[in-house]
This record gives sequence, structure tokens and C-alpha cells, in this order.
Amino acid sequence: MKFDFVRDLPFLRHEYRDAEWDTSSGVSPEQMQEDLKKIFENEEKKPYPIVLADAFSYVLNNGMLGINPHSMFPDKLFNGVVYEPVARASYLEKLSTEHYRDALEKRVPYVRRMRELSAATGLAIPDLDVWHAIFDWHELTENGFAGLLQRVLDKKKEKEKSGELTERQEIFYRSAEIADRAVISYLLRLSDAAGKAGMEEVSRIYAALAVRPPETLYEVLCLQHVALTAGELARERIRSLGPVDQIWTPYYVRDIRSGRLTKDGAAELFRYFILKIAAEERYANQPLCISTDWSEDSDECGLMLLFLDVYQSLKTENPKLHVRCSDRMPEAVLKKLMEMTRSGSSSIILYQDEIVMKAYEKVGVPREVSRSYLPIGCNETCIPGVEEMHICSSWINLEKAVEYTMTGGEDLLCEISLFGKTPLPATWEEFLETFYRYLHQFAVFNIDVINKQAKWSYESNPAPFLSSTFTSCVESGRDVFDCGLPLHNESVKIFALGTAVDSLLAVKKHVYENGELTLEEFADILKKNWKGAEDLRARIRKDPVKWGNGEEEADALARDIYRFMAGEIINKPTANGGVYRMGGDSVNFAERYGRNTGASPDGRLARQPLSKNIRPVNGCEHRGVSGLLKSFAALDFTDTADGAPLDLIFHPTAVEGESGLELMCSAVRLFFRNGGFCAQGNVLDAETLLKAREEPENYSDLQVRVCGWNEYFVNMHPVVQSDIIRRASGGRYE
Amino acid sequence: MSNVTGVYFALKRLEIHDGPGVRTTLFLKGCSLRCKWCHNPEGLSRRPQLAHYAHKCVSCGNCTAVCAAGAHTISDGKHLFDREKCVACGRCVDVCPAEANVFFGKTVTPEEILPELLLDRPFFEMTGGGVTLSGGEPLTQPEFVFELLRLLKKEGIHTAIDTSLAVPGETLRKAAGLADLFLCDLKCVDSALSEELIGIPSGYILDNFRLLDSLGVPMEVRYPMVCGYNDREAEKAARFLSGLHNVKRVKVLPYHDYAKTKYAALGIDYPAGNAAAPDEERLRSVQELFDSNTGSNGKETSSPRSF
Repeated sequence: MKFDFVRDLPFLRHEYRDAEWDTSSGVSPEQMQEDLKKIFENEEKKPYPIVLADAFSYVLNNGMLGINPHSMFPDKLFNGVVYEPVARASYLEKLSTEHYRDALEKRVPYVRRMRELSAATGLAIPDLDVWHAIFDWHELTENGFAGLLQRVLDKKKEKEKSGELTERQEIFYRSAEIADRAVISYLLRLSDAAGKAGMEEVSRIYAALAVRPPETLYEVLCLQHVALTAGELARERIRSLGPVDQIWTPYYVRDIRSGRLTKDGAAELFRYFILKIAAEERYANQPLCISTDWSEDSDECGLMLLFLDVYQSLKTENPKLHVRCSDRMPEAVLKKLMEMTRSGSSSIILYQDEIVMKAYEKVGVPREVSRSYLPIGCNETCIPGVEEMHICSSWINLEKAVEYTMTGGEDLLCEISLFGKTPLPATWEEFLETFYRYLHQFAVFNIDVINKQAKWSYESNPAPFLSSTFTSCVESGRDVFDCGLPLHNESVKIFALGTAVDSLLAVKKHVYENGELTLEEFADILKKNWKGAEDLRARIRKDPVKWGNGEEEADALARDIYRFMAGEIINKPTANGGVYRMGGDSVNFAERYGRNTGASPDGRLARQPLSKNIRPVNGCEHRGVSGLLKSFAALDFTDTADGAPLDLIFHPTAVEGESGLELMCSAVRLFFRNGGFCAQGNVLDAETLLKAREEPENYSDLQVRVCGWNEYFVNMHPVVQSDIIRRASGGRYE
Repeated sequence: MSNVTGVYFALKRLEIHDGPGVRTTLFLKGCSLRCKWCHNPEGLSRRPQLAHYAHKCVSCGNCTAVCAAGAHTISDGKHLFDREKCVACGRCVDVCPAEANVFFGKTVTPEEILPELLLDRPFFEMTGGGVTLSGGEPLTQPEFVFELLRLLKKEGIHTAIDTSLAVPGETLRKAAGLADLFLCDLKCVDSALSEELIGIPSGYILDNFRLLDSLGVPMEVRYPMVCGYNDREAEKAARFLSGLHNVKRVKVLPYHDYAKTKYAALGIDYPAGNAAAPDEERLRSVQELFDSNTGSNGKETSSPRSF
């Protein structure tokens, strides 16, 4: 069957939204839901890992198929619910999530109650992170599904023979066997369906993948997509396609040498593969990783530049591109990535290998192990096959400690008081002391709540298929959530550093330095959400000494808080013998926690978003990228093995031409030279400009540069703003 | 610490349009010209000024409480601003929650502004960039500029001056010994037209072009193209420049009217009511005209900077 990309394109981008299912190939949605419920009711009779594996197997064997004749990757499985963009949760996922929550409510009800109270105050939501996962892609591609199954069978037999096999291990092996067999059955179903659709080549590939590892680039891509489908089905959210340069290049080189594939042929495969991933619209997009520890004339470099060209031409944001930047990273790759960023792609995140590995050393992981780390999720890191994937166990809202210190432990928006009352500090030194005492309590509270839940992670959330991809799990006969991997680490993140630092500086200046008002009066203003004190609010917001401007006082305070939290979190013991890591990424919690956080002394109104990640407060970057980089250089990013991103924001007019590209590359180089962990470039789009028009106070520093003239965007007349927005959006908005 | 002070109205970082590499541009206040299309009206007067953006004002009245001159008042719930009374003290800027009051004009010594300019040094080093002094006309504050250039030179920073050349020859001579590059505006060659459009005859400016050229100073020339005003001057300008030896590049800058909001905020009537922007084709042909006459390589950066 011949593919013609231009002809096929209309059938690719919305393949899942507009899916056509072959109703004769599987059971109806109603039937599937009924049958799955019955399987889950078996929990009384069977161990839960087996129940889960049975349910997984049921869907792969009975779900309707939707072979897409226009795609080189035609596989598609109906998972029990009508497709909804973004959150395409399967019915199996719904049931397993209910089980997970019920199991924890039953085992640790008090802890779950504390968790809810904490969430209601906007302080933190300490949880088990069972929402991120990563296969050991090397193991998976080297063994193939049949190889994984064989490993499970062999190891089980070996343990049986030696009389070592425990009941718990027997359950694990049985669940893994059911899961692996299910994926193999699914491949055979796909092969049959593709054959019937006249797609002989891919039909042969699916059949081959059922019995052996992949041998070509096309096969390895097919395997990756089938594995992703299976992983997502079982709530094992696979948050990376792995280091694709390492995975794909050997196959590509073999294909090219044997004459099986041309460069154009590889580009064609990438086109279809990328759109397949994009069409699924997975939650938060599907990441992949490009490592760059190779030279400019290497096969890896050539293949990745080809991939990036294809990616750019498709104008997609999905998959997300995580790029590991080694010391050897070719200049051409950085330039290409910045060029893509400039042309509007905000899906590229760059990680500095050296700092990531140093951060791992701080939590006791030597370089030879951390060398294979992988960015997963948004900005976090994990070592596949070695480290558990609890990269988002909790987020601590640093501003909340300012609030409690101001009010003596009272919440500004609700009646909940988790940490008791404290006396109001008489001096600035006492204020800081109380602030840090709260931060200490926050860290202890979060770690305690996580640890008490983590003991039950296997009972609540086993992952048989995922576990079977890990040598260590198969060797030990333990599920990945049953300490099957060597490192049982957890991660707690901090965020709202900008809001907290600016708030502290405002309190110091206006209460303790110039005595303009008392702490009680300031707290009262916050309770009234700044009503009647608008002039003070305006003055505070315009005060130039703020985090993110390279100002010594703000930077020193931020550094102290960062260091303090590192001391409170890093290397604290987890429930299962691992250690805690720290992160500095807020994901979307800056808005969510902000909704439950009272007005803050930096001028923020109640329920408004907090500052994101460890970034400055929006609109407070008075000294541009240079000030931001100087401030960030004050932080020790080797404290944040779990990732702390820098968002570099540029205006399109500031990065035009070769000089503009060089500016972007220089900013990244400078950040990394200063010890940066990971960075993301943004060239402002029309949507940001629209937001700036709606919320001018958050974008007061946004400058627009047109033809030698510059102006703050928020100062421009609405008509002119509309004109600029119209240009930026190609006429979509005004 | 020197006794000399300067007044500036903006500092723009990570610029790529004001000379080689990544630059920091300091916009100084004061200009003796009155170009009809001027897009930085806040740079005309040497004095600090308050701009009031009426469309942003929420009539909260905060400014009335701090304004000793009585320039801000509230009448029938609506804010009124009497510019005549304003003494540009800047107090109303700090208390305005809507950021409707903006202050143009900060007075500093060269030593005070130097650290702000050096903040971007890592970018200068990586890209061969530096500091550009612009305006207004920076050389209307010569002593400040000379001292600042000396300090920057001591720090090893590349410097450029963005000038209209409407300044005394002696000032130029002195600046030429201190700055590494001149970015010179050539707006009009015809003398009578020049007087009408920018306020002085062109001879003075053309003489200064020749003076700089004779001193061997590298120049990048900018020709602001304003249809209805100076767009017919391009050929004459190209001819004039072809007689100079140190013009490295000519950039054609198309007119736009985005400065209208700033004029309104400063209480100045917009003087270029009939001006229009050139279309892309006309712009390209004029750029080619300059390139072919001067051997410059303006193509890369002189196209309209659209979004």
C-alpha cells in the first residue's frame, strides 16, 4: 500500500477525534463497561494485581479496533469511553483510579483528611505520584514484547525451581505474564485487521513484533506506539518516548546501509509518527527526549536534525521535545532548536546534563547511574529502570508561610488552621524566624503525609505491564510500585518563590524599616483584599527591588529560602528507604493554589495566581533577561534534581534575523554557564498579547519593538494594541 | 564621581537593531530638531515630563492626594489633568494603580548608570555587542555622553552613538574620538524641505556627515522613509552617501504611526497627520537603491520588522 502524505493529511490530524471503529472487531462500549465492572468485582476472590492485569487483558483482547488506512501507524484501540480531547481516560483507568482512592481512604483515612484540608488552604496537596511513568525503552526495544514475556516466565521458573518463590512474587509474575500476553494478543489482532484492510507491510510488522524484537526503524516506531497505547490504557502514563536519538539511530543506520530506507523515507516515517502522537492529544502532551552527547558529524546528529526539520514543518506542539544538552552538543542543534522556538514552538525544553548529574550526586546517585537520566513530565527527571517515578508528590506554596507569619497562623480565606497560632513578630529578625519555622513545618507535614500513603502504593496501584519492562522488577519479582526498582525516591516541589520574596521585602520595608504601618494593620489590609489601601499597593508593586532583577537584597533572600527548603527536603527519608528530591516547578498549581491563597504583601490580590515556578512575579522583571539571569545565578540548581525551569521570554521583534537567533542562543549559553538546570524559550505570541491587554498590571514590563521605536505594550492605545495583536496572530485576533 | 549628570527616558536591553551584536540602548532626553514624524516625542524636551495615559485612568483619585501642584483633580467622578500646573515631581506615578501616569526623565551621573549598562556585559561578550547611546539626540548632553563613553571604554565595552548629527562639529569631533561606531540619521538632503520637515536646513547636517567621514569614523546610516514627506529624497540621499568613504551600511526604516498614543499622553499634537508608511515593494526598491549606491549590506536588517 502506497502512502501519500498530502492526500493522507486530512485523515491524520484528528484521527482520534473523528475515529471510525470497526464494530465487528470488538465489544460495544456498554458491554465493555459491564464486563470490566464484573472483573473488578472479583477483587474479593483474586489479588488486585491479577484483577488489574485481567482487566487490561480484557480491553486489549476485546476493544474495538479502528484501523486507519491513511496512516503508516494505523493502530487504534477503543478503550471503553467515547473519545474526549485532552483527557482521554479509559474506562479501565476510571475503575482503577476509583480503586486507588478507595484503597487509600480505607488504609489511611486521617492522612487523606489532612491532605484535603491542606489543599483547601492552598498550602499543598501531598499525594502519591502514580501519574507519571516511563518504560525502560532500551529494555523494551531490545527484547520486544515476546522477549519481555519470556524473561518473566524464565525468572518465575528459576525462582520456583530454587524454592525461593514467595506468594507475593508469584502474584507479580502472574500479573506481568497476563499483561505481556495481552499486548502480544493485541499485536496479532492488529496484524489481522491491517491485513484485512490491505495494509500488508504493517500487518507483517505487527505479526513480527508479536514474536521478536524490532529490526527496522519502522518496526521500532510501531512498537513504541503500541506500547504507549497499552501503557496509557492501564493508567501507567508514559511520560516520555525515551532518548529517541539513542533508540532510533542504530535501526536507521542499519536500514540505510542495507538500502531498506532512504533519508526521505525516514522523514516520511517521522511525519506520520509525529502526527499519530499529536492526534491522540494526551494530557499535557507526550514528551520525547533527544540527548546530544554526540558530534556534529555523527549519525545521531544527522538523524535528529532530520527529525527536527520534519517536526518544524508540521507546526505541532506535540510531542514535546526534551533536549539533554551535553558539553558536546553541536552548535547546529542549539541553533535549530532556537530557530524553532523563534518560529513559535514553545514545546522545547533544554536540560543541562552536568547540573542534572551534580544534582543527582547530592541525593547519592553516582554519575555512572545518573548518566541515563531522562526528563519526564514537564520539567522533572528520572532514571529509567533505576528510580521510582514519584516526581510530583507535592508542591509547597512558599507564600503561605508569609501569610501565616503575618496573621499569627490564621488563614486569610478559610477557618482551617493546620499549624496552630504563633505570636506576631516584633522585629524583622523575628518575622524571618517565624517564616522559616512555618516552612519547616510545611516540609515535615508534606513528607509525613506522603510517607504514610506511600506504604500502600502497591496495594492501591500496581503496574504489571510497566514493571515487566524493568529488569530489576523481573529479577526481584516485585512490581515497580512494590519497591521493584533500586531507588525509592520521592519529590517535593516548591513554588511561588517570587511572590514570597517580594512579599517579605514589602513587609520588611513598610513595617520594620520605615514604620509606615504595623504588622496588624498590614494584615488587616490583606484581609480586606487591599480595599482602601490602593495607593500603598501601587507603591509596593512599583518598588524596583524585587526577585528576578539581579538585585542583591532580593537575590540573597531567594537564595536563603531556596537553600533552607533544600535542607528541609533533600535526602529526607521516604517510606520505602529512598530519599526526597526537591523541584522548583509549579505546573498549573500557581493558579490553582492561588485561588485558595489570600492577598499577599507584594500587592497580589486574593485568589489571584501566585508566581510560577521559581520565576519572578509577572510584570516585575524590570531589568529584562539579564536581570533574570543574574538572579537565577544566585540559586544553586544542584539542589533541585527534580527540575527547576527558567522561562526565557522574548518578543518576536527582539529576535529577528541572525542577530536575534544569536541572542537566543547566548541567553541559553549564559544561563547554563551560570549553573542553570533547564530552560524554555518563548517568543511571545498573540495570545500573550491578548492577555496583556486584559491584565495590564501583570504585563507592565512587556515591551514592543517596531521599526526602531519601542513602547510598553500596556501603554499603547487600544486601537494600536489591536493592530499589533492582529499582526502577531496573522489576522486571527484584534 | 563626576559632577556631570544626564537625563534619560528609557533603557532598553538585549537590542539587536542598534549596532552590532546584542546591545543595551540608553535613550537620552533632549533634541534640537522637530522632525514631523518623530516617534520618541518623550525625547524632545530635556526636562523630565509626566505622560498621562487617559485611556488607562480609572479615576481613583490617588494622584489628587499626592499632587501638591493641583495638576490632578477629580470632577464629577472623572479625573482631570492640568498639564500647565504639573511640575513633574513624579509622586503621582508611584500611587497610580492603573499605571496611567508615566514619568519620562531620570537624572543620573555616568557612574550611577554604568552598572545598569554593564549588567548585560555577558551578552556583549558573547555576541560582539555593546552599548548604544540614543535619544532624543544624545549629543545634546555632551559632557555626560563623553564621560559615559570614557567609563565604558575603560570597561572594554563597544560603544555606538545614534545621532541626528544636528550638533556642533566640535562636539562630534570629540565624540568621534571616544565612540566606536556612529549610527547617523539622514532624513532629508534638500535644504528648504529639510527646514520644513525637521526644523533646520540640511547643510549643517551634511557638513557633519563629511566631517565624520574625514575623521575615518565608521557610520551606519538610517533613512527614515515617510511617504508624503521625505520619500522623494531617497535618490538624493543615496547620491550624497555615495560620495562618502566610511558608510558601512544604510538601513531604510519605514514610517509607522504607533507613537500617536505617546503624543496624546504628553499633550502634544501629532505633527505628521499626512504621513503614510511605504509599501513593501517601495521599501525594497529604496533599500536596493542605497545598497547599490553605497555598497552597503543593508538588506538583512532593513526589511520591515513585521511580527
